[in-house]
Amino acid sequence: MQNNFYFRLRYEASWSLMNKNGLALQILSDLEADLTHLNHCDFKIRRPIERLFDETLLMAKELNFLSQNRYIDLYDRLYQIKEQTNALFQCSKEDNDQPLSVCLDQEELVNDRLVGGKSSGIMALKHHFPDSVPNGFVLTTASYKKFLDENQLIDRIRLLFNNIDAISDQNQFKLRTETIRNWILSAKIPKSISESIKFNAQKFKEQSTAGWAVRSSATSEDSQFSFAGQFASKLYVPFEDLEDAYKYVLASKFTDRAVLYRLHCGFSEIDTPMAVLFMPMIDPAASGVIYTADPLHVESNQMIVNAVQGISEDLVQGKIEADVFILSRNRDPKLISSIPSEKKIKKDNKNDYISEQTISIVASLAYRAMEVFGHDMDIEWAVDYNGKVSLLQARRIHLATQEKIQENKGLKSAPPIVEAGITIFPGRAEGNVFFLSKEIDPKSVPKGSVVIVSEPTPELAVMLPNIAALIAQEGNVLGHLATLVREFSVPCIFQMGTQARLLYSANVVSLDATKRRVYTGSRWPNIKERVLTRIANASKHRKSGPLYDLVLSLNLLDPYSSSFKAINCRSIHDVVRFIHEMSVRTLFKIEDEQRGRKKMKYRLNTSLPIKFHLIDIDGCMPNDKALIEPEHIDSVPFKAFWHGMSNSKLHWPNHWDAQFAGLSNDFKEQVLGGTLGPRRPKDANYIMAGRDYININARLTYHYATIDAFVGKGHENNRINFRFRGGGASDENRGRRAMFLEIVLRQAGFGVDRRSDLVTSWFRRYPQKESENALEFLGKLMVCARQLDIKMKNDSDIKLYADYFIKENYDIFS
Amino acid sequence: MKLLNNILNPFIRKEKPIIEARIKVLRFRKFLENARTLMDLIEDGKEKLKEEYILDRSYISSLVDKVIENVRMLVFNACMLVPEGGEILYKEFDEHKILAQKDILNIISEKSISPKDKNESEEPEYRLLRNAVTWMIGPFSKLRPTVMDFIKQTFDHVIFGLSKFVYPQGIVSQLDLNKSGNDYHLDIIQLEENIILKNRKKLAINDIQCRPLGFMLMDNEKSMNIDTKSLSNQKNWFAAVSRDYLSLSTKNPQNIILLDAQLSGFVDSDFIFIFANKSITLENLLPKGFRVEKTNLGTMAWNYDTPKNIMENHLAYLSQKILKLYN
Amino acid sequence: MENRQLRIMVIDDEQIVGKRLKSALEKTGDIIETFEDGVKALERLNNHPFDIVVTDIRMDEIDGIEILEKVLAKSNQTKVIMITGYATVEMAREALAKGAFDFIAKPFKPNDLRAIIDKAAKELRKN
Repeated sequence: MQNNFYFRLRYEASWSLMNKNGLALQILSDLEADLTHLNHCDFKIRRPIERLFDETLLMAKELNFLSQNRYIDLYDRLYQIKEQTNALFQCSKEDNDQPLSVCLDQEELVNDRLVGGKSSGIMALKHHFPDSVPNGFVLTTASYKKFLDENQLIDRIRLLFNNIDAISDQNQFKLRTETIRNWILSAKIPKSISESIKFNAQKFKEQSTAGWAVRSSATSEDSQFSFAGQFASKLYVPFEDLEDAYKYVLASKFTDRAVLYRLHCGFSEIDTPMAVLFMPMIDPAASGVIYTADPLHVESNQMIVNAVQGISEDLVQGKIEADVFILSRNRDPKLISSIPSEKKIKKDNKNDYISEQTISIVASLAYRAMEVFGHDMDIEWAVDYNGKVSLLQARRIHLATQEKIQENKGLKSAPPIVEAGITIFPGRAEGNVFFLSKEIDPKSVPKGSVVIVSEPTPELAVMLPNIAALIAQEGNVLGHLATLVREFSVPCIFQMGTQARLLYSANVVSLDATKRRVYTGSRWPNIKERVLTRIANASKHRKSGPLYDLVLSLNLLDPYSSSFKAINCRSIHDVVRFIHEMSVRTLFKIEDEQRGRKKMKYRLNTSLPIKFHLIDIDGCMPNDKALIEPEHIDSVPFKAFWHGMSNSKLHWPNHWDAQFAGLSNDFKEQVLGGTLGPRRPKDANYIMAGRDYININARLTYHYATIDAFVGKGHENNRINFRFRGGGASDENRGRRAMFLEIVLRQAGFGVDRRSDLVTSWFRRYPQKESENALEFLGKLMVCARQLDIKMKNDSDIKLYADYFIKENYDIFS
Repeated sequence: MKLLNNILNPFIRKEKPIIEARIKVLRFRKFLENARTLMDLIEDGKEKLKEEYILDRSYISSLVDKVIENVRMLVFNACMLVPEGGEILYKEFDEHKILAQKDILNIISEKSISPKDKNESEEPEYRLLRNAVTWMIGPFSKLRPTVMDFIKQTFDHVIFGLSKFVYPQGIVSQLDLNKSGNDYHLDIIQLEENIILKNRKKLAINDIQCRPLGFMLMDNEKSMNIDTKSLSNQKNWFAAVSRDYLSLSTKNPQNIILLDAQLSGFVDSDFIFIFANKSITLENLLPKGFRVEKTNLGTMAWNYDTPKNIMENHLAYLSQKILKLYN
Repeated sequence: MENRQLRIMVIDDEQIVGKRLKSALEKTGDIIETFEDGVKALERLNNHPFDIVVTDIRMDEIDGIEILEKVLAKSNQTKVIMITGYATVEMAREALAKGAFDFIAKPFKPNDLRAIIDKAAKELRKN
């Protein structure tokens, strides 16, 4: 009885551990999205990390319970990570009480994340040029969050955005973005925000006779990512319409173009909050943009002023053309030349709306700004009818090295050869096709290849910095490699399925991971260069930051390397991965611990020539008899497995071990490694069963096979793990059998890892019916494979036997 | 731990005592979370039965599934905390599960259920939901334990087992103080580093960065001078502390009082849980708004979904009533 | 047009839903027709206009998404409200993207649905 309870508790511990593993991966995946755009101190970051730590600590305890404290080093590692993480959280505590609004002339420093890039630029400008920058106010990202929160929009938007990058249907995409915009437009503005708008706008009543300019100021806008021009503005807004204008600008965060852009850059949606800038409208006589360096001729030492009559909104949008003035680039700029817009040339209009003197004032202000900020800028400016110059917006110029996209139009009409899968990281790439099989070291993949694999395992991470794109036939979106793919920004498609085989014939392919399409040949020649640049910069582009390193980074990649140890875990992600790997290994070792205990009481009653001892975990077997009928075991996975094993078409020898009865002990010692070998000949077969669980350990002619499976309703927790090793034959033949197993298991949808004669295989997160079929399949496979190591004489037999097995022709296995 | 020690090889490494203690407190917190989820699920079922709701069979089966899953976690956490006698818990858990399968889930999966007879006014869905709620909280016509009874039994198992657990002296810091004429002695462990600011054996209140403990000792006199305390009347407590969490318990298995509180400022995770054994009428000591359940061993009380400032007041109030109760 | 009667169709293959909703929604004087069979409901829709269609999202014969598509194909004026159950949020997302007016998750109170119907009615009056 004590034994049974011990086994039950072990079973429950592994169940609990796997649950926690799923939860931990989910938290990690959410955190990854959120960390890009939330402050470390935000409770949406801090709480999941605390939770992650707690779950992982309990996982570590459960692993140690299963493994008899083999991994107690994990505790110290975890607490060290926690301490370091806590130190990072010490930042500013008031972060959670961020103001809803901020005045542009506020003296205290504000965070870009609070006011957005645009406002932050203006506030800095106002600080240095108080008289030349109009005052106004910002509704901060805290307002944005409150707005979404009080309208219960956060979850709804998340819902619509969940797999939006995987949508191929344009109409569906448009419908989703439109739905979100409508939600925002019809939402109610929280009272506190509404009051904040009124209060602030009243302060500038005199300056705002022409109404207000209401503009977006998104996080990251005007920073290293240029969101320029993606969001809407409203101009000449009367006081009473400010609330509607606010919603209008917020909704523009969800235009198709803006959404696509963020998807392309890998930003998570809801967590790129938007602040909105309110400035009294200046009714300008002239306005425009000044560049403190000529973006096209950096070396020319000239400044460029674009100007239009009236407001410059259409100019910025690219709808109208400006008059261009070129000035010398110094503290006292002089007009060098002017190029009137084409329209004016035609109409022979003279430039009468702005004086040369005013242009020089604009230019000298801009030059001083450049000096103050220490880099070149483009600045929006306006001049009112009294000649007063105002600076309205400023940002750093990204002086581009010629990177204009020239699409190869000729190829555009060719259809893709494959269109399938799930986008893991969006973007386009092209390169030579490289099929990476298990035998090939991922490090040897040529730079710039489009790599195709069957199962994306974390060991593949070593090649990610070097490849153009990755395609996997299978793959878990929440898995470790997916995380790494995003980290290295490799365009990537998972779950392409058998269609990936169509790429065998191709030499060079072009891949659009956003749309999940692959074309033959080189389609976007300039893409290749960009890919190579990315590869060259890979180390710089890595997401990093201390919190990222402590929580999300995955450093333990190869579970079979000597560095795969508890003390080498550097992040919580490492710890989770380590625990998961070790728990699976431990589950396969259960038999070692039951050796030496009292004889087990129950046995399976079967006419088949195999003996199984039974361990009942949760009362799924009758307890009044020592011999138990298979049909009396109330266990979903056992029934499925037994259904396969007792299939009447299978061939059994008279006795399981008959073929080896005559072998000498010396031979057994030599081949099986004696008591150090994978299984001692005297070990019993046993099945530990519960209603939705089995752990089977079978000795089948000197090899051992183990199954650990949980199969129940739903599919999230379902899993089947299978291991197979050893045999009485030569290394070569055991290897052949392992290859046979790999082929048929893959065919049946299992993931497989094969190392010499050890085959590890898994089938996870499938619905009950599929999982039952997989177990039935394993039952048959275990019988048929039992002496293939003797039967298969050469390599061509592998495929032959695999074909027979797949076609359910079992006679050849007799 | 006798059972586990029998099974575990004596040469096996063991975690540090402080880690063992921390994991115990954490697992107990998870145990309380399971219980809270269960109470919410049960309330939800009751609510759906009371009022006119549009529901279908999948609601009922998912409710029952969630209850089973959470009870399973509750039992697992209970057995990890106190392994001795855990097999009885599992045996009973399996019985509850089988009963739910038979009386509720199997019937739901037979797609075509019809009213027992045409005259019956109640829709079959509501009959099933009634079965589910009866399975959870009764009343049963036969004398048979409900899920709720089982949850309470599991609590008794854990609380009684834990009351015998003593923090090893090597890992505790000590706090002596005088409050409203009583002398107190607390053995304190920190659940993570840097909660206790000063590295000294005898602490002052301000050395401890624990919000819930802070509110309990708030209105308090200074730490007392050790020389002047009267040992005979001293009240002894254990406290495990982190910034937001306090787990406080008596040091005497005959007189169990246990208080766990989380005070992080986030309403959905904050709570106060108190248990007191039978000799105390806990109901009379509680501020308003606590949910009270009687078990064989004593009384437990919960407070959650309460704003931060009210919880702070609750803690201050409770400290007046509870700290002085036992030696 | 101010407060005219609404013609509302309720489709759910669970008998209890139609039965309870009919009696609850009729209280405000609107015209309610209930169907357990999606195919029959679509037939009825073909020769009879409805202002609002409330349909369960997961049904055996024909699912709610299909009904949504057919209803909108016929008249994009009709407001379609989806009833979702446990574990069907995925489908709710799809439905919203395909033009459903809103969705409500089971279990719910008839008044919760009433609120959504009122919102839909307001939209209808706008057009």
